[in-house]
Amino acid sequence: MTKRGDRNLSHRAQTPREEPDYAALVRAAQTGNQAAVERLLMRAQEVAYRFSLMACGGADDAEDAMQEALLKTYRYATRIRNPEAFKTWLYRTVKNACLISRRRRVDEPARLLSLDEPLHGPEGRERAIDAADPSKDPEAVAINSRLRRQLARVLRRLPGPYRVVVFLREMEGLSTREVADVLGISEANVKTRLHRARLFLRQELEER
Amino acid sequence: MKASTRTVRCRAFLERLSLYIDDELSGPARRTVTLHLRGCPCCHELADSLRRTVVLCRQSGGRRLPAAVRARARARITALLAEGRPSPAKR
Repeated sequence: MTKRGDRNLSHRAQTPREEPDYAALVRAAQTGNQAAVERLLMRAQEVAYRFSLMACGGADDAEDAMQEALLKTYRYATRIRNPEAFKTWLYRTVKNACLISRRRRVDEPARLLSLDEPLHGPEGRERAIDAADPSKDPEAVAINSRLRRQLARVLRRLPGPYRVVVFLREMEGLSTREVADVLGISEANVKTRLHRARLFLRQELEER
Repeated sequence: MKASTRTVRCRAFLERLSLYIDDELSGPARRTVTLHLRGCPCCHELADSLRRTVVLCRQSGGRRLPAAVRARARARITALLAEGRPSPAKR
């Protein structure tokens, strides 16, 4: 990993993240705002796609999970009494959709994909998972891309219960409370799993 | 200081490093860890690399869908809203 030199470790390791206001979107959708409905449906599929690739299965699982998340969100989003609860409902729904999708493919080995790794679409053509931001320094982009591929490989070796906590807490930016709600475990358990997972990932990444 | 010289006291700090990085320790506990890290190169390096791992994970998350996947997602939404009922999976 790239060394960054000495620093004040007391600062939180934060990364800016665009966090949609799910509750506001749900409220708008409940008043018949079509744009809000469409944004919710797209968000649901985005979450399902990332969850499938990083925490659950592979590309085929991702498409199934996206479809399931889309339908569930369409049916239930406007009926949710507490819009504040939509976010954890969505992640819980996506988690369950991914698990159902995996069970359908019980004979196929689970394989995690990096978001930078090419994969094959249904039509057989290779498609890129993500494009690097061309506005960034090419060398920095290359280093980040390499590190992310390493991270994806290391994540595959992390047991599922730890991997899903890393995904929800670190990659999706859910709070400890939200992760606990989604997974149905205690906050203390979330913290313990997260710490052990971080130590594992650190060791594996530092050894490469 | 090498990893092999890590003491029992170091291991106690190790258990709290994630809480420290996440700024979830109380004031006195936080100061205790800060002081230990200043005086222990072994733990300081470990904390630094742990923090880099956390940053890498966070930078790897929340990314947009690739164009082809996004197009299929958009088509599913359009079909669903047009029909007013669940559409079959478009693969």
